Amino acid sequence: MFGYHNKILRVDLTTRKVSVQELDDGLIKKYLGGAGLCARILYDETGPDIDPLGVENVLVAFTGPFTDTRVPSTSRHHIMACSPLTGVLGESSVGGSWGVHFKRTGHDGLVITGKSVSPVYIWIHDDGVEIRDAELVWGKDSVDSAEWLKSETHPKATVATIGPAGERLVRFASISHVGEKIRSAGRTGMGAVMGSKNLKAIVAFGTKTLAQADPDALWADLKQVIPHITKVTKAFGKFGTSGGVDNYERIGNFPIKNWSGSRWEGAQKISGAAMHDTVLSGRTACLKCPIACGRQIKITAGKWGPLDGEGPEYETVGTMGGECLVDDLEAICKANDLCNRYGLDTMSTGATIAFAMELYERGILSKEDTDGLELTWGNGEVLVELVERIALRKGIGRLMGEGSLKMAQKIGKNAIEYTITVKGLEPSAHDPRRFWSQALSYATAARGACHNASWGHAYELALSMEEIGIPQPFESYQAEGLAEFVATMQDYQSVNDALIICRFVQVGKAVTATNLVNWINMITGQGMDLAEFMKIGERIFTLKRLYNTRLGISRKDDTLPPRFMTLNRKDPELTNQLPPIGRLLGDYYEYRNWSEEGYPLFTKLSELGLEK
Amino acid sequence: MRFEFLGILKQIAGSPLQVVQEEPLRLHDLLGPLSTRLGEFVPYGCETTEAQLLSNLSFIRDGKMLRMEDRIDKDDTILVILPATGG
Repeated sequence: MFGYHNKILRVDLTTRKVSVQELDDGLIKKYLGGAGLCARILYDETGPDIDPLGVENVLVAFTGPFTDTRVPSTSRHHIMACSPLTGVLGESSVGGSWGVHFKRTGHDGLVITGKSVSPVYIWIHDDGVEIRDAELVWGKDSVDSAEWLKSETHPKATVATIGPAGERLVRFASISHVGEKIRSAGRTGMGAVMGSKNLKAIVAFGTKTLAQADPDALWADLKQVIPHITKVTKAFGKFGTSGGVDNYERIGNFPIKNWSGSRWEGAQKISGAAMHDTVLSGRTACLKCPIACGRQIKITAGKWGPLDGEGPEYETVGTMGGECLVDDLEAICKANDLCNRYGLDTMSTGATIAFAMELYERGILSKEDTDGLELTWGNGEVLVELVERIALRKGIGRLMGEGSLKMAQKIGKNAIEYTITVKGLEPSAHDPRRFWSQALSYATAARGACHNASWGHAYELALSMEEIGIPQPFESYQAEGLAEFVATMQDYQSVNDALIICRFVQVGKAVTATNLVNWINMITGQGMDLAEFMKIGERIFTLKRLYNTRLGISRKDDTLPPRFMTLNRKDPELTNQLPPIGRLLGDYYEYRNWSEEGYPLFTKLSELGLEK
Repeated sequence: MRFEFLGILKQIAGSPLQVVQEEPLRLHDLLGPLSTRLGEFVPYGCETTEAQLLSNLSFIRDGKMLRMEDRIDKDDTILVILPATGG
């Protein structure tokens, strides 16, 4: 089919066998690519008795039909495996340039099985695939690792590599994608899966061109849309994703003090505007993206200097700043840089540190437990120190590297009461008490407390999309109709993750569902309509649910941490906002045609072609 | 009625916009003065549609989002923010 190379690359690390499988048109029509094809393969090739760090786990990466076309903000790929952090479906969507370089080698997806007996890396290029020894690079951080690997392969290659955290199986280890800049597949511990397979890195560089059905029509349409994207995302470009920190603090969406706080004046010191006025040295963009939301920062002197690297994103500022009450922007920059180098998810790292700070305050952890460190709120030095200890599994970092839920279970006492996770995943920096769509989506998203599963906050606050049944922003704090709204948004974002295209083109209604359908048809030559487009989204979301239900997930797991359901915040503007999760779940299951226990019913599976 | 600009909009629009008006007005009626402060964030000035406006800006009163037809009273304070940021 046009828009694809129609090939899946398979690498078995146990046997060191490399093979290429034809990508079936029928599969493409049902799942498109990205998260859709990842989910199909993961479901088919793993079973219910899976150890996420065992040889039986399968790591799948897929590009989509938009990858390496002129559609902007699509140089992304999706990675999926059973998560070492949560024990259920793990996934991460990542930008940068790796997806484009990989697709240019003539493949659409990559399936990695088995386990190598010694450290290796995979080098994928136009002329073939090599599994090479990685003993010399094992132990290096992601930046040094990428530099060495490029020198061994191709100077323009993009390197997807783990750092010391992934090697040590930290359960929220990330995969750093190092091209000209660093972009991380952060969530759910995909780096630990690579580490468990003794796979240090996947290096890609290719030059093959992609056949498209009607590239001229595509470009004619894009010429109308791209200037609009540039215009409506201007603030993203200038202030980055953390441009909204102080907004969100004011309206009750920003996480404060392990989600127990109401307001915090420190937010202004760590916002995108503060970054712009202090440490910002430049903007960075994923390949062919007109938004350029990435930050380049430079600290020349002081406690955390010299430092020249990627700046923190909104979610990092939220978890390391707001949740830990750290208002020292340079300390957050340092902690963020260490996460990039060691290969750690900044969000789970920040959230787990905030959780530990609360345990310390409550006397559940003492100085004896923390190697003498004082885990006090707002302590930037401790924040930075703990990042290193977690990554290297030193002292208290050995325990914290398990993630906050497993850490609480190991500590015992009443530590679990202060754990803020859904299905074991620490939340994004969006408060579900402010946006009930996020409450319901956190509870039901496959990977746990993930704001991207629905991106509902943006559609409560501002956006609308008439053609998918959302003619105006959804009314906040309203239970009526919320289930349908959330399910629709989850389905819509599922297709976006199959294509794959960045959420930010939805800002200002720059790119709509109608645009996406038209572009799919121009690239692939299909005659898809909007109904089929949304059905693909529902199919992908439901398949992920099936994967999780096979692992024992049901209604009992579709819930929120007690703090989100019981703790009203104290500010006058932020009271009585507790989401009625029981009612919302009932409505949601009914709308989705799932049983009361949260299992998709046969009629729904049959309708989606998932009955087998 | 008072419009308070938050976050980066404060850098663009500056100090709060005070509109002296005894009778209630619709948000729609205030697009003119808002566009003088916020420029292209109010895409077509007084002609902007609700979808165009709300995809660029959010207006919040007492924690609730406002729509174009919502009435604003003389003592109301409205927070104006950029709608979608974050990761």
